[in-house]
Amino acid sequence: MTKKYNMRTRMMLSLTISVSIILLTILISYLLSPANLITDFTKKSLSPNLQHPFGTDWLGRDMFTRTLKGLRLSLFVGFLGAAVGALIATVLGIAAATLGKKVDSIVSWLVDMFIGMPHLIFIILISFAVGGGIRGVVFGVAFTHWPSLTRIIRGEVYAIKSCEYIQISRNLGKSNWYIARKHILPHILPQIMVGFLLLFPHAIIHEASITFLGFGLSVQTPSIGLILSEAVKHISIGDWWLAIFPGLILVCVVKSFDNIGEHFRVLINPTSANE
Amino acid sequence: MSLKGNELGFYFKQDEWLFRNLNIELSYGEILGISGYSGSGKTSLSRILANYLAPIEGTVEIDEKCFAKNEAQPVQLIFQHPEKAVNPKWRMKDVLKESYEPDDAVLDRFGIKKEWLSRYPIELSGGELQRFCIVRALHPNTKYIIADEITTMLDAVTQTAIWSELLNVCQERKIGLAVISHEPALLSRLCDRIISLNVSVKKLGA
Amino acid sequence: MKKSNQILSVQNLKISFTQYVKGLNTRRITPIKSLHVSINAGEIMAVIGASGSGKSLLAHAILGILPGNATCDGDIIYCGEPLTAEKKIQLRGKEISLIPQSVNYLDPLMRVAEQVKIGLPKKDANKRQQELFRRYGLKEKDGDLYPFQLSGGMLRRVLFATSVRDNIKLVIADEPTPGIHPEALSAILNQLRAFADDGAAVMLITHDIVSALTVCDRVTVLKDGKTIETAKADKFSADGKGLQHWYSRALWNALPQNSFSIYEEVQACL
Repeated sequence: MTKKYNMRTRMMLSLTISVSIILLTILISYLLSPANLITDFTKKSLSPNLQHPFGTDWLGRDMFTRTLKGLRLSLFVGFLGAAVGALIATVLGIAAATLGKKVDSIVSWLVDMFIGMPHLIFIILISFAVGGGIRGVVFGVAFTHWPSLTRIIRGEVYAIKSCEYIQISRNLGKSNWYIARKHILPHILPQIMVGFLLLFPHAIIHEASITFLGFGLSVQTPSIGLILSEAVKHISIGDWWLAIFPGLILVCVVKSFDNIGEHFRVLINPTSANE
Repeated sequence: MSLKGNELGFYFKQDEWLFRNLNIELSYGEILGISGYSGSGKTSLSRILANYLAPIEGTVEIDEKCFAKNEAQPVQLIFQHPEKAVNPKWRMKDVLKESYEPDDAVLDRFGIKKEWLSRYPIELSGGELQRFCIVRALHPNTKYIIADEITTMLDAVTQTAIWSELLNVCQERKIGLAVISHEPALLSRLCDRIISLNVSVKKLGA
Repeated sequence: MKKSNQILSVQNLKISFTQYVKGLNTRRITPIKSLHVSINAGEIMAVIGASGSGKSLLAHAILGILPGNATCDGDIIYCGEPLTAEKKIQLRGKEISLIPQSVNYLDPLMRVAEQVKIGLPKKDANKRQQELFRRYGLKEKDGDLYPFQLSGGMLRRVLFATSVRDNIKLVIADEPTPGIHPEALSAILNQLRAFADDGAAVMLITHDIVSALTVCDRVTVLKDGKTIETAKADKFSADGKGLQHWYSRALWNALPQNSFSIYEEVQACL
């Protein structure tokens, strides 16, 4: 064990790297000129070089620009999906724990049902049902990713509800609203944050996969999934860079989010927070 | 005027009564001892008397009325483990403020130092926390206090200090105090009258 | 006291924890400053003190189960040799045994007979487990039950059965008696006495001086992470004049069984 940096310092370092990868991706994607995306057959299918670090595609478009702009859209969709998912989880989790047995059994039944279903098929169905496009993907991702977080929140609220200090608060004449606001919400807020952060990478990956399969975003919106799905057609003729670089960047960004979420989870856990 | 439990009965498992047909009365200014060992139902009884738990049989009356809603109850319970009875994320002054804002005289009396007010519960010892829990229970509305093994986890010196102050306050304010403990020696030191749950459990439970 | 007789000797034990304050800075708190305890074979040493005086940390340090952010200084000598981290792992459950505070330490999903067999030599584990059951008045068929199916008193006896092993030299009992029925209480204390009479050293960690005094030989008093006094059990009698330190006297006199009083000097320190 290196004594020079304590665990929290090392953690901050790794957090900073993760956050900067994500921020850089977004920043650069704005700086790149859309002119790079104009079809130019003189530069068709170039392998990576100094001018085009990720090469160009079969229409002569710069792959670096396409990848980063695509990733930005994926991030945006992922953010919305994760946010809506976390919101659903919070509302249902609290409702299940506080509104009595009937609500609890309904929510638990829903959770079991959604967990039992294969994600991908479900996302495709929902996305198709609400008309595809960005909206389809956001709802598809949100509606399939709330159950595990709902379970966690329900459990937390249940546990804290029976705490002695909550009962005392009630006996001191405090209303349910006061208890929810002052005792319960501050307690579960970090859980929701972590849940949200850990949902994020899932949302991005699923967006990419259903777009890849052709059920997600339309061809006009260059998301990472679309880029990968188009690349498949060209890999066989040797244009390896069309798939490798976008894929690699996607993995980096997703891993960064995962990293951030995991670190927060360690920090809010009292048994591991001081190590 | 008194806190009255009429024909109380309670069980966790169907028909395995912890106690049944139990009558209990605590008057203003009285110090009542309730003795019993672990498993005798004394914790359940204390929670029923303080409206934390509904009895399976019988009723609880305070000054001939039922419990009111959404106001500080006249019966306050003090728990055995103070560290569980305060929100770990609140500073001590907020813990007190949830009940009322005690003046310096009360704080002094229970030996609560000014600098403790801005600390978090984890930064105080069990005895120090228990002092806060007692002050919190002394809300202006409070007429009865149920103390469930409140000094069991503390050392003898702290125990003596806490009881002598609590008894004084209860006498001044004419608060009825129920002391629940497994230690007969402690009860006989503190109380005017002692009832034993150990006997009533076996006899009435059958 | 002969040196060879000594099973455990803890000298200058210091335990500190690192904690994070405001962001990345750490601070070090030292709840245990200087503890000394020594226990001989065949002896029960009661370790008493207020909650927060470091009683449980002492037990955890000897067993090697402190949390990851703790550091431990000082000497722990076991049977004449330093008790290293590897030795702690090797010896606990075999020569050093813990009797925990609560019956919740039993595995709720394991039949009790199986839990008693843990650590017994494989080939005659069954026989030994049945012997132990007989010794503690448990029926053979009780072994097939899960902890939730047994009463509190029976669970206590199962806990004891899990801690009795042939080569036990040191028994650490961490607050085994809070608030329990007097019959169960005396059963536990008698059992500890039996351990000692068989030649083991027993450390009884408790804040219940009165019941500890019924069985123990010597008493170590802790206050704020320091050993303030080690005295023979018979010094705790009458008005405690035989005790060296004012705090030990104060503890003794504050008991409801005694004068239930607080000295002026103590009041000033509270």
